[in-house]
Amino acid sequence: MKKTVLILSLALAALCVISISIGRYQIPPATVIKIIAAKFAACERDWPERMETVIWSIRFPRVIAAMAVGAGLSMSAAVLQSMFQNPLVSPFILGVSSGAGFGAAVAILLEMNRLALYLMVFAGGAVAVTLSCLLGKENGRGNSKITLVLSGVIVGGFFSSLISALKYMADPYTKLPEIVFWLMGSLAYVTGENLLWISPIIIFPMAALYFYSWKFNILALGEYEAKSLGEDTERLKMIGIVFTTMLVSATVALSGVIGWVGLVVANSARMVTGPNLVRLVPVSALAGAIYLLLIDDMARSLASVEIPLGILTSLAGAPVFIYILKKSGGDKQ
Amino acid sequence: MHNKIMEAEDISFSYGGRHVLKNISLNIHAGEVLSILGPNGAGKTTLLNCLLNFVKPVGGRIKLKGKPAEEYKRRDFCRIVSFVPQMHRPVFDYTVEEIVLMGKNPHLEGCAAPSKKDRAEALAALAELNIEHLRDARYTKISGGELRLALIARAIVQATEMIFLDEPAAHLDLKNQIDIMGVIRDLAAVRKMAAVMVVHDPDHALAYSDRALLLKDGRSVAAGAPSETITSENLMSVYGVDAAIIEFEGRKKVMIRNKI
Repeated sequence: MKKTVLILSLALAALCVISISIGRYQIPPATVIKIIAAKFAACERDWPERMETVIWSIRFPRVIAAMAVGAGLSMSAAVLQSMFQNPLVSPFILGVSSGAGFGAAVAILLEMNRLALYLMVFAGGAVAVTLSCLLGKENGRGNSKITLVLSGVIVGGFFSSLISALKYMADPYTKLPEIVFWLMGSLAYVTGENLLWISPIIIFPMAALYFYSWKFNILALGEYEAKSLGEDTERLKMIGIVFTTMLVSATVALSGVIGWVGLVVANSARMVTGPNLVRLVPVSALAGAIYLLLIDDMARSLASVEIPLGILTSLAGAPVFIYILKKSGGDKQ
Repeated sequence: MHNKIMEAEDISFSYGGRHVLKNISLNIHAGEVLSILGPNGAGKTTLLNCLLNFVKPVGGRIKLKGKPAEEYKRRDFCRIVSFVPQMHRPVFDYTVEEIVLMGKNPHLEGCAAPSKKDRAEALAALAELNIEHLRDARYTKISGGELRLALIARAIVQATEMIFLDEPAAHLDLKNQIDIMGVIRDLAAVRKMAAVMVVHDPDHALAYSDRALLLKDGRSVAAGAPSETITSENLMSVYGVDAAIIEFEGRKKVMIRNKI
């Protein structure tokens, strides 16, 4: 476990430096390290001023945001999968992201300020996850593994059509492009100031999910068994849903809707760590940070124009979903 | 008899307008094994769910150590009562040690995870049941008998005075059935736990329990010493099966009269 975390941390650090160095304006990795080191220690400045500006005002916030979003989505997915005893679940599958996206679209349309936007995003995500859970609730008849996924799809579809309605109403020259680009997911507009503002609502739920990680294991045994182990299951589920929704909403507020990240990363990480969330949550977080950083590097270097992140993640995610569906036997216990 | 741990009085339960349990009363004492028998759909599992405080009975009262069950916090209730569910296939492949450690849950404060000391306790419980070698095995990959033992180890870690088992011998081979019943007897004899089990085989009730409760259509047909409740007449009225009780080396056994 310690070894896995160490290797992933080192890989993440290296990838950070590389991600900062690549882009339209190339900066050698050694210079990147020097410029970062110069923040903490006195150092001779033998690089152009422009490099420093590019790093601190564009690349650095973007890299940090990519890591935060990847980590947040992945650890949320790991927790949700255990809670629902369902490896097919993720914030995106449950409709949280679409709900949150709808909240954001409303906020953009009404020109709300940042705080109001976050609250709208959170409210949208919370409504969506509640609806999915209610629709997909176990009715005692058979397995709800697919039912829950379908409920998420229905709720996601519902919010997507609401979003379409908003797009139809939006001003095609000013607001529509903003809504569209943002719904496809992008880290291009992340600024240091924005990041700083949103960091508490990312860090706090992350810490909470980590602290509760052992407890969430109990829910993976199912309702009655968890109760027989002295767990107030309703309360613990509520805690899990509130913190994951909070975290996912914050990532949506930062980068728009990026689907399929949590599903892919949490399932891959579980193959390495096993299902115990004490290990799975931190490893998912690190792996998610690496994954989204790689995706974002591709998004800004593969083509001459930036590719929206959501397109790349779903291209990678859909095959993985099919694989898990086949492997877990879908509706069979 | 010795001290009562649980008293259930007049328990009734209905589901969707159908009466599943009607006026069941029973007392459970420390150090005894109680078998619950009855045909499929007789309400055995529902009775277990009521006694375990998973569902609230529509009528009647359940007292645990003199205090009404509904006044307990879930955590405090589960420091006294543990549960070994029927065979199930968990979705995620936790290790046996991780599953056994979860028995510590009602004893942990806040969102704390188990300590090193708790882990040592879990290993001791595995050793007691001679399944130490399974500690790192995946819970989804072990045999039915081993799975039952792992769940009993978890109940030992939970350190309760009472244990409920839902069909502990189901799907086990002959040797494993005998072993698991022996372990249950030990829990009662050595640890003075009250063990309540749902069983299908009347021979298990005769051989391993101190008392038996026969259910049919949600009603109690007979309750008391196994040799007095598991009789030809009761087996006929509960299961509609023609059987004789024979004696073999001083022990009683059910023999089915063949109707070929």
